[in-house]
Amino acid sequence: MKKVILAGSILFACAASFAAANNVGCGLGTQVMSGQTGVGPQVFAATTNGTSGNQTFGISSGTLGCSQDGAVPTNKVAILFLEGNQARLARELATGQGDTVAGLASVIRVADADSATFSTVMKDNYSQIFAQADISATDVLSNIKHVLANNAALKAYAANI
Amino acid sequence: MNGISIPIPGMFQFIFVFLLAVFSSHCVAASDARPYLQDLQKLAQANNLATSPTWLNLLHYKRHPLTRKLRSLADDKSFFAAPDGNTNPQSELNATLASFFEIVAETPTVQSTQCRHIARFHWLQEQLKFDARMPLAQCDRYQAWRTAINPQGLTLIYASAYLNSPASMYGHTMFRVDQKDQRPNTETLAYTLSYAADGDANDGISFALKGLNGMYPGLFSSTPYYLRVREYSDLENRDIWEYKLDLSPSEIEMVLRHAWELGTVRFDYYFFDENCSYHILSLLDVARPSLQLTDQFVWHTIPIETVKAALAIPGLVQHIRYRPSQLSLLRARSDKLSAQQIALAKNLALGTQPLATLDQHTASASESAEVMEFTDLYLSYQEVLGVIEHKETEQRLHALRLARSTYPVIPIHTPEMPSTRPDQGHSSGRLSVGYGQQGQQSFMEIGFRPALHDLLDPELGYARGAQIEFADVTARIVGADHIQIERLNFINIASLSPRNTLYRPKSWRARWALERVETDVGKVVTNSLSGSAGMTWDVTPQALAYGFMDLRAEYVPAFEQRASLGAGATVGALWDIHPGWRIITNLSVMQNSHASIGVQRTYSVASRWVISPDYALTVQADHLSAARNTDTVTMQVRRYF
Repeated sequence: MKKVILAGSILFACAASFAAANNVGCGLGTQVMSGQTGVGPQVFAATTNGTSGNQTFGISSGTLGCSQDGAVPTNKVAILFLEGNQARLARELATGQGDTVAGLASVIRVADADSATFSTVMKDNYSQIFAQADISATDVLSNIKHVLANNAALKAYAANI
Repeated sequence: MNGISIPIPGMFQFIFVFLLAVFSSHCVAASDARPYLQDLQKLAQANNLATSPTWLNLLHYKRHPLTRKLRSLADDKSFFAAPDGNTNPQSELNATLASFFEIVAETPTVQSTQCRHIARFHWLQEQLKFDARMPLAQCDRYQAWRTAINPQGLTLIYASAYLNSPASMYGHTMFRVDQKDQRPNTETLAYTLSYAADGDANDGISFALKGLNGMYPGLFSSTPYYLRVREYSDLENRDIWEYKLDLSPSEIEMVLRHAWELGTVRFDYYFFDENCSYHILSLLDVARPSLQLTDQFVWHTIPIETVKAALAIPGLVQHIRYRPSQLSLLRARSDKLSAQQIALAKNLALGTQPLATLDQHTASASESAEVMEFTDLYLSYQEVLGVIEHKETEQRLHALRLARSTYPVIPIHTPEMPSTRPDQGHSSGRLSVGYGQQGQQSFMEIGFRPALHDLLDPELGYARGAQIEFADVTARIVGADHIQIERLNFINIASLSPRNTLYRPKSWRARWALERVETDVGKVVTNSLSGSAGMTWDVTPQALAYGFMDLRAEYVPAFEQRASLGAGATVGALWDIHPGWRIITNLSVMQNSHASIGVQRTYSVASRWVISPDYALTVQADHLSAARNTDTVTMQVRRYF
């Protein structure tokens, strides 16, 4: 009964928000990547759409976590990107290609001419960057900085992290 | 000492300038401002600005659908400058102009009205050509936000349905503000503009009920797109459709300014009308008043209908892009693999095959890489489904990726854009007219359903095997002068998700209905709630077969023993003989606790032909055994609107 009423009610709903924890970096890293199991949560989740802490990015609502009036401050752009993309980034850095690798290159302002080298260096040093299974986004970022600093062609970009 | 000494005449000048600076805003308000304000108010009135579409859109004035009274949809006093601003556009405009003369120092919580209502200020400035007598505020916070957004274009984003969740056919819409230096592979770095209820969905049923009654405020946010993509594509496995809009730079600026002034404004969040999609459309109306998009939606806004409304405006949608979900990527990759390679990947994912032995089973390093990448996607998908425990997956994925990084880069097969899009589906409203025979009696039927899709409706653009109906009502005309409600499905959901070697979803159904049924004491009204769990298989690409265990609770006011519980089973099949011609058959048997019903058998067969995108024809035959012994044949024409 509950599910049915619920399902009926959410037909016209679009979204709800969950507050994001804010203890490491921007706090997104503490959210476990998992979906919903079971029929009820699935129906419900279909239209609630709120797993990323929408209100963290409330427009013109002042400073909240890694959001200033809804925008990410320059010094938090890289860490938020890491936190929001850690699973994808791990996959793509290992394969040596993908939009998330391109996104990372853009976030740390790698020139187009160096982007191919960047992907290769990230892949070749994967074991240093993702040093352990449960690594934090902050550590991944500092490992990337370290790898860049030790690479003759890319060391200038280490300063952008 | 010399460094700070100021000559006497200079000192006077300094003090004068200082005092002028301190008092200037007050001076303007007290002396210069009043006559200038009155001039502006007169000019605005002479130009009928208060009744112009832009002003009405900026303040979200709409006529009430029943009382026809003009009122603003915003439910926040801070949105208005005048005390009666929510119902009086003219007095709101006059008060707004007055408020522009008040300049305050900007803090993280306070802004001058010029900044807080920056779209209004900008528009009125354009209309009334403010001169130097209007003090100007520095809107630093807005400028910082705008600089971060770095706008160049606007794309309407639609997150489509996901597997095994019929309710997700309702979808979700938002905007992506495309950035100036954006390339196709850095689109996810752009910001989105979206509207969401600020409630806790964990509240479950109370969330839903509060939402229906408008007890949650809705708020606008500008979350980076990559967080949205993660949510939709990686966690929920929803494909995303992106509709790039053709808007001028000044129109895009207007969207941003208005989003800014809506940022913290409370709109009571009604699931039925003022939902996310409605507010997304209202931003477009502000940018280009001639679009009048929100006027098309009075009672309810289904997200996909807002996409259709945008597509109906000639030239507004420039091009459409498809962003496949992780599941679609996984499927595309599996299509390129042999059964043996898939088996190998599954064993790697389950840990039954050591990673070190992979090369013994593949012909080349790139084949190993292909299998590993597929394993990665498969394992991640299993984790999202909750099939595999997080810690265990984390370790396996880590080992897998470490290994993968030592193999060469391989070309990737990305899924092609599906041949049909969600926006091509039939309209969500349905009107039907039918003629039928029940026993010896013939009848006419009229049906109305506001939303959304059942298994007999044309499937194009909808998720296969998914059904969700809401408030589906059917009235029957028997004889010359007798009309009565025959059936009311409050909610009717089905999810037939085929199981295959990669995915093993459960199928399910749920229904809550009022209907008239034949009994040994004549026709009575029953109120029933039923739920089923089962499985579906792809028999051929055109046919599904399924089996369900059913539970049913029934309440019949006319009976002495009013409640009855039933348990039973259903088997059935859905077969598309031709793209537009579908047949569905069901056989079910149910044991009921009510002695007068006993064992109930139901057989049904239904056939549907798609006549045009807006019309379909159905013929259905039902047989009910035992106490409810009835045979019914109905022919129906369905019109979608």
